[in-house]
Amino acid sequence: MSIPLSGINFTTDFTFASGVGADLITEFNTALVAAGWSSVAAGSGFDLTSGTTPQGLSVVIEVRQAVANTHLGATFKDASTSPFEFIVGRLGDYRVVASPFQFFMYILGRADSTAAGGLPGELMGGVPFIPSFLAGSTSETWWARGSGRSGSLITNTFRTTVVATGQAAWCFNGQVAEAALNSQNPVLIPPRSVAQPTLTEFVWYDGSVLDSEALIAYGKTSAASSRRVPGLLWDTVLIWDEFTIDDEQTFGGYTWTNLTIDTAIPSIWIIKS
Amino acid sequence: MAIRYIPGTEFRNDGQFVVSDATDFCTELQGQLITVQWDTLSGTRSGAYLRKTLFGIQQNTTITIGANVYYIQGSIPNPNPGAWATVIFAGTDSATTYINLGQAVNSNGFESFRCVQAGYMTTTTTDGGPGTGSPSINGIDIESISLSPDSNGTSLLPAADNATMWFGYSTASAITDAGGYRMRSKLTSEYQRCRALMYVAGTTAQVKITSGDESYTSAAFAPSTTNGLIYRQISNPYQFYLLTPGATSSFLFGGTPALPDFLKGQRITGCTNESPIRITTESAHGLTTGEQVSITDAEETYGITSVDSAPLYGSPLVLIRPFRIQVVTAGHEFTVGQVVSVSGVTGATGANGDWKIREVDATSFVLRDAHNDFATAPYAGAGVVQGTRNCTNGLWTVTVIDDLNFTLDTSDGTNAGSYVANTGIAGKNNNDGRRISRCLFMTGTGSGNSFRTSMYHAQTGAYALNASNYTGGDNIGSPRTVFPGILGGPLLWSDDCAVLCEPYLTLGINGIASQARLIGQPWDCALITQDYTDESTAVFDGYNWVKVTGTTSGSLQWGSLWVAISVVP
Repeated sequence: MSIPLSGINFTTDFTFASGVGADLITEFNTALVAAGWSSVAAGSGFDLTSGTTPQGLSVVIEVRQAVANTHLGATFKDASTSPFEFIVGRLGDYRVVASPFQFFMYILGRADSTAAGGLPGELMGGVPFIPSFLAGSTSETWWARGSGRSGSLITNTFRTTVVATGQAAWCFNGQVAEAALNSQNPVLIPPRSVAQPTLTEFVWYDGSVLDSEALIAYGKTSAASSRRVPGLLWDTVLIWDEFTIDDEQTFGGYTWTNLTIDTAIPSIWIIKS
Repeated sequence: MAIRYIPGTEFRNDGQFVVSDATDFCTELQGQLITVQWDTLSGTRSGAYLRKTLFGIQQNTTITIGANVYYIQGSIPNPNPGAWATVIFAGTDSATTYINLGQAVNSNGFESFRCVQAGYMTTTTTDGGPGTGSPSINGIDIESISLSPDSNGTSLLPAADNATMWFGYSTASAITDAGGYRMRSKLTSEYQRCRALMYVAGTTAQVKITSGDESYTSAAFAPSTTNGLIYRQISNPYQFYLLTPGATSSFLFGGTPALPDFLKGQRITGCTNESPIRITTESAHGLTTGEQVSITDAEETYGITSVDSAPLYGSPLVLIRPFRIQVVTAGHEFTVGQVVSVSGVTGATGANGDWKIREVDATSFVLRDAHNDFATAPYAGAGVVQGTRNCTNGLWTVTVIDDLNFTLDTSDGTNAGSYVANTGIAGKNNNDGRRISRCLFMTGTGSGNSFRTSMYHAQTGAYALNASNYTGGDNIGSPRTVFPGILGGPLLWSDDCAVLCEPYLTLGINGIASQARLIGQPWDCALITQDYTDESTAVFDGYNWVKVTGTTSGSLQWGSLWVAISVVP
């Protein structure tokens, strides 16, 4: 296995200061369209459709104003529809790192969490890369994770850890599932060793860090069902070390940015450009 | 990364053998390794294990000190490494006879030996040490004084036959040659190789792993040799698995792992006879002046110009006449006690093999343990000798000459040769730039899990990593595997097939209690994040596979180690 590359990576930075949901929607729409998503105006926002992956899969996000028009609301769907609407409304300096098949939207320099409270500022999702041996058995799959939805606490996302426990929604072959708090669904699969004594980090002999593909796993039919791996995140690598949030490195011919907070191990790196 | 397979031109072996005793075990394992191109450096088949004897004095020898005459009765074979060779004698003096004889030995020119202990032995004492019970036998313990301590054990006394008495010595770290084989793996593409030593101690089979030059020797693993026990061995030119079907006992897994390119040591292709020594590397070394490099396992090779053999002693009374085989070269840098490999000699073919050497001068050395069994004909020509490049191995500060050349400050070389070596480099960019010049490991059944019982880690293991060597039990630095996974169960794809991956091997870089680091992966090895029946077979990735982790329970069921046994036709 190797890291699947989408071939198109686009990063957009903007400031959301107005508190008007429509402004955030416009910026978000612009960022995804630049990365290859198609957009159709609908309702108070847009329907954004991802590019179709080489495995023939895509996802649609209904982006609308929410929470008295102060937030961006996002509902994921394809043949099946997400059971709830994620919301984003925190004021701040945003970044959207997007490819035709997935995106990460977050506020620079910080991460949402239940403890931090406030308004949600993170949303991410898309269609994973499906390895060839699963292509024939996968007709539909997508994932979404956000730090907020109407009436719910603020939670963490992949901005904090590969095993985020916050709110999420996903779909596998027509089975839509959701996770609220305290559910490790979806998760990214880190390297591991024996539990005791714990290896605090996986480092090569020369001191270089271990990197690995970002396998994503979620309950096949619900949050309570056994997790399965439908595929891998595009343009994403897990690095078994901690780095400064939003740090940038160049390797493999790409500029990467650290999605995760300073203390996250492994850290999640996504191609910025 | 991906699963690392042995090159397509190499052999794999998946076979079974039944043992009858410890000797049989050693012989069978040796035979299995031969089939996958391991070299036999010493040892012969059952019943004729190489017995490395030194020189001695005969039974019935008398030693006279003043009015006292000491009559040599025999010698005692020493089953315990770490004890001294012992001589039994009778004397005509008083209760101080053993002291007197010890003094006699030390003053009367027994070549290369001295008495280190003297005392009474009880009749039940067989370990070579003076006894403390009722005096019944006078004994003295003797050690060599001219030879450096021996790491491969050359001198356990053969069974006392009351014909000839042999003196020898062993050390606590010695490998006995009471019976055994010394096998050498092939060199990997990362210039790694190891040796496996197998021998019999008492009635127990012992297996050790060593570095290519035997400067590191692991503790002994003692697989069961119960009569009728069946072993399955899966081996290749670089490593071997040994397991007992249906049981998790008596497991051995050792060899030298595959290293990623970025950890591969730099190959030394040349070395001048200058002071300081000038090293030439195969590719750009990337060093800067002032950096330190470590060089391990560098070897040198010289052509042999002659081989002379002559009786070590002229006395016609010696029933087994030790010969002194001297190898002459145009010049070499070997040192006393070093292991060298002689090959290609014609005529006196007994000179070929793996030897400790002694009586070294600038152009020649003596094969220390060779005797008349081997000197069957005059030297007819040819031959080379290969051994460790002592003057090059070590930790050095470099001075860079150009991209491919640097010197080792404070070094002093005198001869050129052919070299295989690697460097460790410090201080590079985002990492410390260190590379691996030596890596080998072995795990086996012991006080805790081995890779036979857990895909996670081996709680009984030994390994060498660059110039550092470790043997020990379970700790953070003992051999472990790293793989993708999460706690809570097997890791399956959406079609319920298990995730298959390469198992990274970790070892503590400064001891088994130190932080482990990733060093590479076992050859032909895959980890499947789900458990299966012991010795299950499967076909994937173009190979036939067998599962080597045995029956497991609990969290151990979340994965299993597999080994490729053959290519799918």
